Amino acid sequence: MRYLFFLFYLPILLLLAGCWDSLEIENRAFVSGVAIDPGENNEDKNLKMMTQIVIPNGLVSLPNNGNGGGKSYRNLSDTGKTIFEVKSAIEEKEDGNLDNSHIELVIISDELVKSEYKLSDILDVFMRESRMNRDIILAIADGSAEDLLNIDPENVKLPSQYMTELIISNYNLANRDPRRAGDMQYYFIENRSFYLPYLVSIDASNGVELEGAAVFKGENGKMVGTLTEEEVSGLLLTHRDYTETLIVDHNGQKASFTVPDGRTEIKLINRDPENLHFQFDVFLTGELVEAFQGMDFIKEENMEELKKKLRLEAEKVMMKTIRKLRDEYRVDILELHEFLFRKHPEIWKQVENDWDSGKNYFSNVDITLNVDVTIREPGNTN
Amino acid sequence: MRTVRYADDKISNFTILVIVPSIVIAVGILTYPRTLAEQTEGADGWVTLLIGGAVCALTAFLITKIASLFPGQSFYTYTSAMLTKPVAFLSSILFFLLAVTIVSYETAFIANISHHYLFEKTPTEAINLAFLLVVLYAVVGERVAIFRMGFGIMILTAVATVILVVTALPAADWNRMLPVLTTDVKSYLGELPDSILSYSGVFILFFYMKLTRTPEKSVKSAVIGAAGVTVFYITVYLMCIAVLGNVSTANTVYPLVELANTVRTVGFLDRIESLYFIIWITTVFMTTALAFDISVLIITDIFPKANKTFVAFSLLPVMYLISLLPTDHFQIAKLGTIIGYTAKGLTIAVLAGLWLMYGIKGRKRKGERS
Repeated sequence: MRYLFFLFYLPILLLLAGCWDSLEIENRAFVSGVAIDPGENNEDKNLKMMTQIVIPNGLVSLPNNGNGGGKSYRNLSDTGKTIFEVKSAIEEKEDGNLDNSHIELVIISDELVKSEYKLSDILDVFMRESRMNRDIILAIADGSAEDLLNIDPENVKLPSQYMTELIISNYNLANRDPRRAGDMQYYFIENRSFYLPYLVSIDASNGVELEGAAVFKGENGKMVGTLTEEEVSGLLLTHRDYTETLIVDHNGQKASFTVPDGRTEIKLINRDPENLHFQFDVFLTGELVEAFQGMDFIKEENMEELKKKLRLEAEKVMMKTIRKLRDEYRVDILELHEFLFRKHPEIWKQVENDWDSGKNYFSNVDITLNVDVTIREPGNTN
Repeated sequence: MRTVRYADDKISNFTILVIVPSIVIAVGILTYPRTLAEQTEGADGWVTLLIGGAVCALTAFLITKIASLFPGQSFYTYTSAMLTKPVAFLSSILFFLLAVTIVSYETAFIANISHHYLFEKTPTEAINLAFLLVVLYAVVGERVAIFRMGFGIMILTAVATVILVVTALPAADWNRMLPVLTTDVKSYLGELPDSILSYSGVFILFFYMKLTRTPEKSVKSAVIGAAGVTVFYITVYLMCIAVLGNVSTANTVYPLVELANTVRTVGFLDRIESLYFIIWITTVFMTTALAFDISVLIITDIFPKANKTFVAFSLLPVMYLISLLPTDHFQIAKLGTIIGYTAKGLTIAVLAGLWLMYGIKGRKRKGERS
């Protein structure tokens, strides 16, 4: 009886080995970066997508293997009407199964999002697909996005990884975190304006530079322009907390300051929706890190002079950015809308629908700056 | 199948305390932050969650109180005494059908979400069957064993949730909690049913109360259990709002999964939400096991001679078939709402009947005495 029991149950063990969804790790082709461009001679509104697929063997450098394996990635591209269609087309060129769960970076060509496509339409698949990562870093490329996936950084094996690190470390320097795909949901749903890192390819060996930011208008999800690096500094100074570097011109001599922990508070002075008036209270605590000769920095009155210069410089930089955003682009990426929504919901309700679109209340906003500067230390040397 | 016999079939107060969160926290935990955030602004959903929790605690109190007045008696017995036999039979059968549907619903939901996140090709029929068979294995054994397992799963869930909250803290932005209390009363009222439904399932106390050693003290335990669930729900909800923001929470199908998804790189693991799936699936497993056990218990209460193992095995095909009926995400959600309303309605009706009769009879008895 007992043997019969075994004979019956033993074959059932075989079922344990069966698995519908088994997919060996060798057969997975991990995608680490994606570049999206407009298709060539584009009357059908095609998208061209390039995926960077990791070749795990190339990543490992064995000690006796001299130059450390071969190439560690391959780039495959194709065109199609939607991202998913292109993905299927790429799948036909790849022996493994594309695995999207570890995508780190998505670069989109500015030509695509300036006129033809809403950014939210392009990115939708990156949020809807169940295996997608909320942490994907987004960047806008000046011109061709594909070119950036072909750069050759010396220290990192994967171009996409290089650019991800580039963006993250630069943002971290300013005490910020770059926008991730998961964060974008808010901007897309509420039609709010936002900015993304703007990558420019250069002719140096590492081939890429983070050059300011691309500004998007929330209303139609299209790119309205870019901010230069200096303008991004001005933008950062309006944020709640930041780390920044400012260069002051003092009687023809330059002095550089870092602001390791700056702080800005927003106040609403005039509550009339037609003519809102904001005040930015900026608390800068500077540290002198570099100065050209010609000044006695240990003397207090010299420091006072320098403080005033630093204040004027900060105001100048901030005002330039504010003017550009308010008068030229007319989009609110100063996050005043968030401030209103959180702190003055009753006013926000009145201006909500025409904030930086339609009637554009934002373009009629008055902004005054109130900069408070402290210079904590002049540095080690006089 | 050989089963281990425990000393007696009685359960402690602490078990009652654990049963409440075990049955209440189910698949709803993955979705309720969304339904809350859809209708409220900022983090205002905690208000309705608190009210829902209070309703749940009150229900638990009323159920355990009435049951403790008839120590050691089954629901069928004391309802027969209070509300005549046909009523007792009818309400028992309705609760039985409800429990069976809950088992099927939880199974269908688990199959659906695992299909979405884990298995692409595995047919849902296979996931359903595998899940139900494991639940059946738990149910045909000794009842006390299910409760023992409940302790373990409760601790696991609590620890995992604390870890999730702590690891998600760096991603939290507390400004997202603002503005405070700007939701209008109408939205609160519109949202309230959803919140109350998040807490359904306490009706099982009607049936488990006959097992307690000290019914009087179990009343307190049940209320503490309900309060624990409320704290748990509010913590998870606030965390979702702080990390994802109100708008993202309202527009993400499974906010809790996305919350786990935002936790970045722990050690060598790049994505840890699959680990959390283990926790959530065991929690849902516990709910399903309890609901299954209740459906068996109701039958054995009405027909004391029925064989428990036989009843459990014969219920399985029925539950399996019902679990296959909803074919998509929306139908499953609809089934969930129907179950929630039925559970609340039935519980309130039975409670009202019992307390009403108790009031009348109690007064009569007092009248006779004086």
